[in-house]
Amino acid sequence: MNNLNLYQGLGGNPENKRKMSIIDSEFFWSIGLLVFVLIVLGVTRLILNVFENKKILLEDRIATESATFGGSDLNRIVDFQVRVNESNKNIKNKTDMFKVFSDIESSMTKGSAAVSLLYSDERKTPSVVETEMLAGDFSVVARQILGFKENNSFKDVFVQEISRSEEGIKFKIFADFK
Amino acid sequence: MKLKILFFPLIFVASVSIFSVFIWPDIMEIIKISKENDLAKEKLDLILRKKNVVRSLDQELGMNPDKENFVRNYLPEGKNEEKIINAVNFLAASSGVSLIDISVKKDTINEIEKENIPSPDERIFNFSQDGGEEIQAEMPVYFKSISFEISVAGKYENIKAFLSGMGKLEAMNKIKSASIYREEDKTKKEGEVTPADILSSKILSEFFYLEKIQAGGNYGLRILNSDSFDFSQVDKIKQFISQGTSVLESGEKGNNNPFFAF
Repeated sequence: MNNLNLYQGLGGNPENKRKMSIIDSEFFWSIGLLVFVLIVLGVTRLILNVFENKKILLEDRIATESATFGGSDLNRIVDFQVRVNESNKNIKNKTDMFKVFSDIESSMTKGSAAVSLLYSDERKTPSVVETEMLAGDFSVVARQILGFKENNSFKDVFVQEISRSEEGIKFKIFADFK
Repeated sequence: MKLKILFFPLIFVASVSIFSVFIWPDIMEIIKISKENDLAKEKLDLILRKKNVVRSLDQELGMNPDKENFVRNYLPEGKNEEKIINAVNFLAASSGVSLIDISVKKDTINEIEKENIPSPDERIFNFSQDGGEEIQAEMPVYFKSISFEISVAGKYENIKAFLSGMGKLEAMNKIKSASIYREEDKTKKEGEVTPADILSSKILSEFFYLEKIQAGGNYGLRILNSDSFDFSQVDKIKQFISQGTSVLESGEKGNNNPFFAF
């Protein structure tokens, strides 16, 4: 009984020693991994904080710069440029009235005379031309309709309200002005 | 001993949990904020650049007051009826027609253009937007117009010259309708002869005006893409308006009895 050896130290057999060494290294790596993860967490939090502060600073700067942007200088510039643009658009889209009546003149055929001429841009695009004419006979009426149809400035030419009166044959020619 | 063996898996699981619950969302947030900051920097640069453009354009406009006044005169802020009447009267006299009548019709408001207008909220950078590109916006243009019905009488070629001159008046306008006709003179006495070549004409024309524009601090306006004005556009308008006009002045003023002309 006196010879009982209760000591179970590390310095036992080599098998046990190797097992203990592996366990210790696993323990070390475990603690190392945990510390590393915690360090990464700390660094990411720090970076996040820096980025968020930067974002707030940029937002404030943008808000300040936006608030001071504009005013009377900007209004004056924009107002001027808009007026220039719209004036040019208006000029570009203007119908040359001289051309309208010159084209009517060049479409007039021998033997017919205008009673009234009307140009209108009120209802539709393109603008319309309405001419009330007086002719001596129907061949003149026909030639006059053809005169308008042959002019490239007019399209959709049609005639209406042909009537004979004391003065001659009255008729109306309608056309779109291109 | 057994506890020691379990320690590594436990720590590993804890580490993975910390990474997936805290670190990974943080990394994603860092990437997101980094992108937003890059966009914000671009936006800030854009605003600063546009501020310089505004400064430069304002100086340029200040150096060309004649051009600015001319344009504001052609498309005025208000109705300017007196200027229109004066210009039409001058045109009638120079074209050799008699101005019979001018009457004013009611105002109309025309919305000509409205496209891609940034709302006031968009003036401040919107982080949800992709890319820091410039907003290419036009100002909404709300024209107003005043219509005049003008009656003139004269020879055909003179009326034609008058109508042609109407389009070239130094006031932005559009002829809505024009008619030329021979009118029977009901007031003429027996035996009196109206010259056969005298015709009447009625013209309905819209004269435009545009109230002062408020840009509202929009830095995404297309107008601000260039740091200088294209004044050749103003010269084009000037060239188009060949028609001269008399200077309108109120002249001598003051009358003790307004019921008698002096």
